[in-house]
Formats: sequence, structure tokens, C-alpha cells
Amino acid sequence: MSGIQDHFRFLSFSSMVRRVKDFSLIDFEESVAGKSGAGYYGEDNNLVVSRVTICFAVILALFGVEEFATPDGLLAMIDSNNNLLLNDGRIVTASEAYLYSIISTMTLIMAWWVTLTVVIKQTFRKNLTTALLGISTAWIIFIVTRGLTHFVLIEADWVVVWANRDLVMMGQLMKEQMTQSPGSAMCIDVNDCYGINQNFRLWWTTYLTCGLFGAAYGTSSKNPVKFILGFGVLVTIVTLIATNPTEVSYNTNTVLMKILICVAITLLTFAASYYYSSNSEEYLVNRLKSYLTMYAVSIFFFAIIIMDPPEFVKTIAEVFGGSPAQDFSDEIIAGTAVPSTMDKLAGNGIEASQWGGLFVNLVVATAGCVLGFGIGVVLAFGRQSELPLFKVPSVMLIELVRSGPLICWLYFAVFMMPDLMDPFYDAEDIIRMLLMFGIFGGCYIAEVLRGGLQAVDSGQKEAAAALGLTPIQTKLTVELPNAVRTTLPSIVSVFIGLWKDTTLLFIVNILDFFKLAKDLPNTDLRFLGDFLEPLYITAVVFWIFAFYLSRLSMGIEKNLGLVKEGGGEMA
Amino acid sequence: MSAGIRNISPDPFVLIAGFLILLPATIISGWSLSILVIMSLAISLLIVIPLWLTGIIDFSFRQVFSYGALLSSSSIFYLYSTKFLGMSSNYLTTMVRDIPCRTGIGCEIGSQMNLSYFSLESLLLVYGGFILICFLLVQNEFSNFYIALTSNRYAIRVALASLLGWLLFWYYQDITFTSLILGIIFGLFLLGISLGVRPQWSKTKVSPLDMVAGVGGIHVPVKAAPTFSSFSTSLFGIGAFMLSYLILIEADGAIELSPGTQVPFFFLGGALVAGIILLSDSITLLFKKDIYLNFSKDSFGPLISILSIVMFIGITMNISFIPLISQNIVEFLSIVTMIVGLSWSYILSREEASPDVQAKRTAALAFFVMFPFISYLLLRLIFLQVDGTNAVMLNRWGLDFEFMDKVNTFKINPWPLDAEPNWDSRWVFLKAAIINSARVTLVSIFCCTILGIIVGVTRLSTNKLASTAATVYVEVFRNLPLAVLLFLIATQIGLQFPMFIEEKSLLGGSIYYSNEGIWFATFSSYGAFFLALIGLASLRTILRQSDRIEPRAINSPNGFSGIFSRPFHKLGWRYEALASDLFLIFTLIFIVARVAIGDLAFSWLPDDYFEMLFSPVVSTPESGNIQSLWGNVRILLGPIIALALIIYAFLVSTRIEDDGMNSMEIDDSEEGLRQRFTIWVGAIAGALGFTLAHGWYKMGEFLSFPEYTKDWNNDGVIDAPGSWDIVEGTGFEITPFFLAMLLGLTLFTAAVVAEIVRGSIQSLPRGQVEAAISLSLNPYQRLRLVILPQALRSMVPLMNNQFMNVWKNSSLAVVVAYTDIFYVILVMMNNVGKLIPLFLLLLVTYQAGSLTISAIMNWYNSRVTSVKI
Repeated sequence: MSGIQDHFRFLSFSSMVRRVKDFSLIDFEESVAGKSGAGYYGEDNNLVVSRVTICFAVILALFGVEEFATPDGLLAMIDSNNNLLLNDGRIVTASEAYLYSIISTMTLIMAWWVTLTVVIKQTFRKNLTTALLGISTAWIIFIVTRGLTHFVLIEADWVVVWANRDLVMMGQLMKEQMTQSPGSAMCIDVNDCYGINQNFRLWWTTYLTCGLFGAAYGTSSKNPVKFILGFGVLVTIVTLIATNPTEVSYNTNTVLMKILICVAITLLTFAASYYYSSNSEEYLVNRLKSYLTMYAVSIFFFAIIIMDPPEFVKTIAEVFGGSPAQDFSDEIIAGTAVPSTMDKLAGNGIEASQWGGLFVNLVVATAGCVLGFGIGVVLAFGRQSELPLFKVPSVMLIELVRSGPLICWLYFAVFMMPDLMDPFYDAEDIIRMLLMFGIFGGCYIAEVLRGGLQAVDSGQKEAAAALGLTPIQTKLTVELPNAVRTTLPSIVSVFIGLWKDTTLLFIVNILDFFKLAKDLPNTDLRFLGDFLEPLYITAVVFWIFAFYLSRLSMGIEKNLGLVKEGGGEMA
Repeated sequence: MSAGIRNISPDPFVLIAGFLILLPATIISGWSLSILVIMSLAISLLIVIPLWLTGIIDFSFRQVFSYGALLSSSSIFYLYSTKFLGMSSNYLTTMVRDIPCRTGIGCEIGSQMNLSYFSLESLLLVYGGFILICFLLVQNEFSNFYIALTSNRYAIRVALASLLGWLLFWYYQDITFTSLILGIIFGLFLLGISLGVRPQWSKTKVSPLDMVAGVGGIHVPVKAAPTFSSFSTSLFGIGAFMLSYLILIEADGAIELSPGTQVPFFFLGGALVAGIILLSDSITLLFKKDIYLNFSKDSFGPLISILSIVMFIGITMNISFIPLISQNIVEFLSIVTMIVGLSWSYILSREEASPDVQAKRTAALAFFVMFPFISYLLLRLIFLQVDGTNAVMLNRWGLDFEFMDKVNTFKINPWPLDAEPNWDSRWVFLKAAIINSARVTLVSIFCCTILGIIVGVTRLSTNKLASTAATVYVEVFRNLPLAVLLFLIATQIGLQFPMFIEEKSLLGGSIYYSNEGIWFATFSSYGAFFLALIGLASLRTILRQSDRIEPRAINSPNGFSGIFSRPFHKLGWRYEALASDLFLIFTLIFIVARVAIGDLAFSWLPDDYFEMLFSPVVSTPESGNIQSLWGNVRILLGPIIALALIIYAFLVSTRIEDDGMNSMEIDDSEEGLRQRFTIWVGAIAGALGFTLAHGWYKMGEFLSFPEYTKDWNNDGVIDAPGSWDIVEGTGFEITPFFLAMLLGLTLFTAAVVAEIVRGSIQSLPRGQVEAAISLSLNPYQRLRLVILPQALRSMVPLMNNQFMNVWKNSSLAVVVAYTDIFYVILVMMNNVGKLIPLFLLLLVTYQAGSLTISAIMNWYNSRVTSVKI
């Protein structure tokens, strides 16, 4: 039982209570505004003065008005924002106005408090830098928070995002086929429907990814409660976003069902792999991890194949009893026939040129990682090789690709690569993007790996030679794992860079998340002029993924024991 | 099952089964790749299950997959090879076919009717040369050759003479690039042969420099030189190449290859034979009698080589008599390649040869595998260059830069140049675009370094509020995509800044700001401003000169590089440093001369050539559309010379500093400081006064204020708001695009720089800070004197990367419509359609910029780390 209690320890209130108990106003004050420099405060009156200062700050923040050169306080803000009619015809509700006013007042209180403390307690006499830093930071925080909350709660009209959340996720064609297929919320009148719902293709990939997600956390997680809590929060947020009824254009119940399936898969795989990992030897766990890596790579290829299946997949689906859905699309639209998944699988998929939304970003970034890692390993060994046949081309390719910025290469991939590739492979733009991201990422990963390969202890190689491994075996089973281990954080940061760089796809007119979000104001006359809302959402979405990856990298770094102890500290 | 069977790996049998069964099936029934994969997996399952049931192997899917891969490998290679070799052979046939006009109807008699003609001679040089290079790369005997080259003085003399003679021969016969290359190749060949002919290796090594002066015969003892046989295979390759060239091209019409069959077979088969020779690795044994007399295992290699060469020549000559081959060249070559490859991979897997030979053979096998694709790629590139049947494609790929001499048709913001659309050439616009990129990069680098250091240090500060805020800043901006950030900033500027017609101004009209730009009041004459700056710099030079004292030790430079980096050392310690200071000032004048003193002093000059010479970076020729080579060279060469000069001047002055020749005794008593302060305040006031007074004298006002005009025709009636503008030439404008770029790049990079700064400071040993505290240095002194100088050592290489990233990221300017290199080249691509030449220019520009930044930072790094701790 004690094990389970351990799992919940981080949730225990005793540590929080201890923190509250230990909280000392004076210490907190000193940590943001510096130590008191005035001689006329003793131990006895210090606390009183602090409290009085807070009172002053609160008063200033509540009743300040701009006419008296103090920023608007709570009352003035509520007064000016409640039931305000905006340019686009939106009326600001009371709750929005209150929320905005309260949040910005809290930062205002803090700003005043720091400023007054510095002045009253004369901390600048003791340590000018700390005092100045405190004041300037507090006011910067106040200005930024007030601006942001004002934008988010008062100015912005988020309907443009709510109405198009499915569009930015999966692109125009998928959205159309989903929302215009019989049974969706948009076409209650069957006569208006014309699509065949192809969403199962994305959902299948999502299920597989969920399985990977759960299994991967199961192998490395030490604390299942922590994972389940975090996952629960994630699922709640996703569900809330997906089922928000504002301007929803799809059937939320279906989506809810699919999310539930995802949750079930994740939890099951997590439980299974957690159970297996905690009851198995370490080498078995490691083997499971390597299988999971292969599984992750195969998900990428699965996603590409399932979106636009080649002929043989269709043939297999026909063998299993599907008849191409497009052949009886009239009946489907009329509502007389419901296509099974096999029917849809036997029919045409979604051409790569029709892919769009976040899916494109994810696929392209994954291509950068998967293909890039493969190409990177080849190039890194090529560059290490003593045979000039391998070395010269590797060095040339790496230096050539690294000499130009990515958008040059994306342009190359769109306008010049077809001339070279078309005679043997007439690929679509997105497929060439996948290749280009793979090559580009590969060249950067090769440079990272090269450092790792050079740092491999020569004893390792000698031991491998003594065991009679062939050169290729030595490279793949001894040198590469060693190099990857030491360079993993850098590799992940290359992946983060690739993920962020997928936003550049819009320059070559690929309908990725950013491109679609940028053009959202053009989707409806109502949204005309709402430029900023989609942009902020884009920034947040990309930020979340990149931040998650960077935390992951830090976790890996810690697990592998690569963190160096550092000593220096600044005053 | 007996143990014997268990020990035999079934893998080779599976491989051979794939070759003998699956490959014919594939060829006959024409399976596609996916069917092939499925079939081979099914067959491998059929193989694995009986083997598993009889207990020879354990069942695993991995086994199934590996057998499937082995089974399908030969078929896949066959499909791949025939596809790419087929296309290669098509291109060869198409390009080589010589169709002169005979009828004179619709064409000039004797002119070429094949629109995509590429002569056999050029093809032999480019494509054959490529095969030769691959051959030499696989053989990897460069170092042996080089050592041999520098080991034998007699041979060198003979060889150099022959090389020279050969070059001259080619020169007088036909002055082309081709002849030059051929001359060099032939010279190399003669060189090698001459080394072989006189094999009495002297035990001396002569370096290339001594070679020039080596007539006197300086003997430097070294270890024994490599033998002739260690590079004879390479020579054999070069010789074969030269021989085929002489026979096919020089011996006019002796042998003519038919374009349909003989040419493809000659090239593709030649590559195959080269591969076989490389694999058997037996050229060195070729001329040994014993090999043939005592037939042994070693004799196979030379025999195979000779046989393949003989067969190759025989088939090439008589290919039309063997219809089976002449109609299926590609298929024939693919199957031969496969047989050779399979047998050699079997030999390789037995690991009988020495590691060197093993590695060489592995490389040769890799050459076999890669050849079809690379051959296709090269031929496709050549084809795109010459294919006249597709005008658009030819225009896109043709490598000529004449279009850059033509006038440019679109407008960009060319400050400080004045590049006029429809008047100046594209080169001028490219230069303006490079300056734009460089400008935004340099300013961003400056700002992001400062902001990054502030944020990074703040993250470590004891002030909890400030350190948390800094952490949040870093995490927010580091994880944002730059494109989104730039777009967001540009949109924010467009929405938040007032409209232009609202006339928002600060400080009584000295700053106008709107979403169309920011206008500052500025000096009315930059010339006077720069002159004042030069005056201040001269003052500093004078002050330094008066403080200079004799250094403790006089360092005299020696050697060429020493004298090069201290050209003024003959002047003695007192005047050397002075001269280098003056030299630095002179180079600065040189760069900005026309802006600085052009309108003061050089205005009487009749033409702009002299001015161009004196202000190469920031001026354009006024003659407009330059068509001459000299004009283009001048546009690009001027800035390069100027930049090289200024870098050289900096190097000279830092070198003097480093050598300790610039000792100074600064009077830092209170009186001295006061005196110094007075001098500088007076000088700055004087300089400012001069600048303002010059403005007053010339323009009638001290500063040039932005002039907001609403009435353009001076009729007293305010024009329509759309025509309101700031008068050109008044004030200093910052465009919103520049502002957005600057903000985006700075905010984004500063987050990364902050992390670098924090990491470097944290990695310092704690004792350093504690020692500084115990010396009672205040926080600022601790940072400036103890922490930063040490942190710099680990910071600079990382910063170098970041600065290069800033330079590359500046290409995102296209997001905010700032006219940088990428933007300008993009529009040119759309206008002219010359994609490849423009793309090459783009890459060269970015690479040059990266290399420059990297060179400067490496130089700085070497200075930072010059003191060892």
C-alpha cells in the first residue's frame, strides 16, 4: 500500500500547507524589491510598514484614474468596459469585463506594491540594481498583462476561430467531406449533403498515435497517477474545445465518442506497458522501447499510406468485401446507402494536394524527424568514412544544404526539383516537401551526430573489433547508439526547429495550419478584419508542441544523466 | 536434423533463389513494386514455415522480413537499374545524335537540327570524366600519388615539363576550357608514368615550396616513398580515359559510334567495366609474368579484368551483330551488374582480403548500386542545360547570367543606394538587396546581443520577480515559430499604429509615426556628420598618441605573414600604432567617402568613376544600365575590396595591440580625468555644432525635419488625404517592414542568446564569483571584470551559430514584405524565369554571408581564448 501512497505524495496538502506556513511577507518583499535601506525601520515596525504599503498599493490599484497620472484602477476599468459595444457589433459581457479588470488589477497591485516598497523602505539605497529590476519588471508585467487580457477578453472576437477549428485541423477538403456528409450537423437536410465522410483515415492514425503515447509513457513513467492526471487535463481541454457549441459545424457527439475511444486506447496501452515494464527486467523494457520506436516510424508511413492509399491497399480492401465508395456516391448522398469503412477504403483516398491543416504540419515535421534521422545517420557515417567515395558526396551535400535557409530549399523543392524528379516520380508538392524536410533535417542531424560519433570512446570500437563484429555491425550497434545517447538533446532541438519551420510551408502555398489560420478572416464576411485572433491561436498551438518537446528533451537529458553540474551564480 | 545443416546459413540460397526464380517471374509478368513486395513476403513465409517446422530456424517475423528482403532485392535492383539506366541511355542517344541540315530548306546548311544536341566530345569530357572521378574516388590513391609526386625530384622535373608542354600544345591548338581540362588530365597521366618509369626513389622529400627553389638540390631526409604500384590503378583509369578520347575524338572519324546503340553501351558499359576492375583490384598484378605462368587463385583477378575489357571493346565495336544485346542494352547491363554484384558480395562476405581491400571493394559495390541513379541525375542535368525542344525548361536551367545585366523592372527600398527601376541593372538591385539583408541582420545581431545579455543575466538575478519574468520571456519566444512571430508583429504594427493621415507626431513634429513608417529628424547633411565623426576619431588618435609610451619589449615580425599583419613595423613603436590608427580611419573614409565628403569635396569631379572608387559600398553608378563586364565587376568588386580593406585595417590594429606594441600610460588622477572629460565634451560639442551649422549653412535649418505635406501643388487647397506624404529627402525613415523584421529577429534570437549567456555563466566555477565577492567588487564590477570575460570563452562559438541563424532567418523577410535578398530574387525568378542561375546566386550569397560571420566570430574567438586559463 505504501507504494500507492508514494504515487500520491506529490498531491499531498502537507507540503503546500508547510509552504503557506513558512511564507514570510518580509522575505517575499525582499526577494522582489530588495532589502530595506532606510535606517529608521527596526524589526518591530517593519511588518507594519509592509502592510501599510500593501494597503496603499491596493487603494491606488482600485481607485486610480488616468487623469491623475495613475493607471486606471479596477473601478474605472469595469466602468469603461462593461456592456461596451465594440466596432464589430459585439457587446462585451459583464463576466468578460470583470475577469479582465480583476486580472489586470492584480498585476497593477503588484506593480504599485513593488514601487511603493522601494520608495518607502528605500531599498534602492541598499541595492539599486535589484530595486530597479523589481520596479521595471513589475510595470512591464502589468503593461503586458493588461494588453493581453484586454485583447483576449475585450477586443478579440473568437468566433472566427470557433467556426473554423475543424478547418485548421485537417484542411478544406476533409472539413468539407466531413461536414457535408449525411449525418453531420451541417446538413440536416439530406438534400444539401454531397460528401463522403473520410475522417476515419485521420482517426485511425490518431488511435495508433494514442497507443504509442500511452505505451511510451508506460515504459518510462515512474508515477502513473501523475501521467493520468496530466493526460486527464489534456483530454478535458481537448474535449472542451472540440465540443464547444459555438458555431460548431460538425456532430459533436461523434467526435466525443472518438475521443473516448482514444482515451480508452491510451489508458489501456499505458496500463499494459506500465505493468510489463514494472515487472520485467531492464533489457526487456529496453527492447520494448526499441519496438515502440519502430512502431512510431511505421505510424508515419501508415498515416501517409492510409490518407492516399496506393492501388494494392484498395485491392486488399476489395478482397475483404469493400466496394469503392465513390461508385455509389449518389446513393450515399441520397441517404439510401451507408458506406462501410471497407467501402471507403476501397475507394479513392485524399490526394496529397488536398491535405491541409495541422495534419500537414505534423506529417511534414515527422517526415523531417523520421527521414531526417535516417538520412542524417547515413550522412554522418559518410562524413566519418575514410573512403572518399562516401566522404566527398556527404560533405558536399551537407555543406550545400546548410548553406541556404530552409525557404530557399522549399522553393527548390517546389519549382526546381520536379524537373529532376518528374521523369521517374511524379510526386505532389507535399510529398516533395516531406522529402525536402527529410534532407534538410538530415543534414543538420548529421552535423549533430558527427560530434557524437567523434566523442565515442575508442575503447568501445576496439571492443567491438575484438568481438569480431563487421564494420557495419560496429557502426550500427556500437557507435550509433553511443552517439545518439550523447547527442539526443541536440537532436531533439533540431526536431523542435523542424516543427517550428513547418510554418514556412505557407510560403510555397501549402495549406498548412498557419496558412489556413492566416486566411481565416477571408472565409466569411463576418470575420473580415479579425486578423489577430487566428494568429495568436497559431502561435499558441505551435508553442505548446514546441514547449512539450523541449520539456521532453530536458526529461531525457536528466534520465540519461547528461546534465552537468554548474556552479556560478550571479548577484 | 544434423548439426551440419544447422550451421549453414540459408541466406545465400534465399538470395540466389530470388535471383533465379523471382527475377525472371518479375521480368516476364511485369510486376509492379508493391506486388513484388507482397509476393516476396508470401514466398518467404512459405520458406520460413517448413524451415521452422523442421527445426532449422526459430520462427520470427524478423526472419520473414529479412528473407523477403533478400528474395526481392535482385528484382528491386533490376527494376531500379533498368529504369534509371534506360532513361540515361535515352538521354545519351537523344543528345549525341548529330543531324546537320543538308537540304537547306527551312534551315541553314550545316547547322544543327537536333535541338538538344550535345557533342560526343563534351559528353565524353563531362560524363566520362564523372565516371573517371568516381573511379579515382573509389580507388582512393590520391595521397600515395601526392607523396610520390613530392618525393622524386627528377620525376618532378620531367613531369612538370611535360605538363607545361602539353598545356602549351593545347593552348596553341585550340583555346578552350575543354583543351585546358584535357591538358591537365593528360599532364597528370604523364606525371604518373614518369614517376613509374624512373623508379629509383630517392630518400628525400621535397615540399612544394622547395620544389620551386629546389634546383639547388636541398635534401630533406624522409621515410620511403610509396611504390609505383600503389597508384598505378588510378593511372590506368586516367590512361583509359585519355585513350578513348584520343581514339573517338582526335583520330577524326576513325571510329564513329552510332548514337542509338554504341554510345549508350560505350558509356554505361564503360562504367560497368570500371566497376569490375575496381572490384577485382588487380591492375597492379596485370604485368606480372608469374600470374599467367603459375595459374593460381590470384590469377582470376587479372584474367577477369582483361576479359571484361576485351569483351567490352568487342561488343562495343560489333554491337549491331548481336541483336540480343543491342536491343536490350539496359537489361543486359543490369543483369551483368547484378551477377557481378552478387558474386562479389559473396566473396566480400567471406572476408578473405585485407581490410583495405575489403573497404575498397565495399566502395566499389556501393558505386555499382548508386551508379544508375547518379548517372541519371547527371545526364538529366546536362539534358536540361541543352534541351532546346522545351524553351521554358531551357530558360529555367540554362546557366547564363546575361539577364542580370538587363534593367530591373520592379521597385524596392534601396537605401542607401538609389536603384531606379527600369534604369539600373539587376546586379545593382541584387547589391541593394544584399545591403538590405545585411542591414537588418547587423542591427538585429547588435540588439539581440544586448537584449539577450540583459535577459540572461536577469534570469540569474536574485530578484525573484525579474528572474521569473526573464524565464517566461525566454520560454515564450524560444518556442514560437519565427514566421508566425514576424507575421504577428507586422499585423500588430499595421493595426496598432495610427493611420498616416492622423498625423501623429512627437516632439513638435520631429518624429512622425504611423503604420506606414516612422520618420525622425536627422542631420541635413550626412557629409558634415561623417566629417565630424572623422574629426572625433582623429582626436582620439591624437590623444592616444600623446599617451603612448615605449613598450617593455619590442616585437619584430618575421616571415611573410608577420610582415603582412604588421606592415608599419619599420616606423618604430611610436609611429607604428599611429600609422595603424590612421590607416583604420582612412579605410572608414574609403567606405563612406561619397556620402561623407562627396558633396563637400568631390562634387567638381566630372564623372562618377572616381567617386565609385571612393565609395564602393554605398553608391551606384549613375550611368544606369551597365552592360559591360567591367561595370558588373566594379559593382561587385568595389564592396569586396572595401570590406577586405577594413577587415585588414582592423587586423593590423589588433595585431599591434596583441604584440604589446601599443602600451599607454593613462593619467587617471582626478585632474587628468577632468582634463580628458573637458576635451571630449568640447570636441563633441564642436562636432555637433559643426554638423548643425553646416545644415544651417546649406539647407537653412539645423536639422532636417520630416516635412509633412498635404498640399503638393502649393495652391493653398489641401489635396485628397491619399496624396499626403512626407517630402522625400526630409527626415530619416524607418519602414514598418524593417521595424517588424528588426523586432521579430531581435525578440526571437535574444531568447536563445539569453539561454547561451545563462548557460555560460552558470558553467563558471563558483569560486570565481566568491573570489570576486571577497575582493568586495560590486555586482556590476563582478559581471564586467570577472564573469563576462570568462563566460565569453564558451559563449562566442555558440553566438557564432546564432548570428549565422539571424543571417539565414533574415530570409523570412518575405513574410513581412521587406525587400531582402530572398524577396528580390524571388520576384526576379517570377519575372525572368531563370530559376537555377538565380537560385545559385541566392545560395552563394547566403553562404558568403555565413562564412563572413563565421570568420569574424572565429577571429574574435581566437582573441578571447588567446589567454589560457
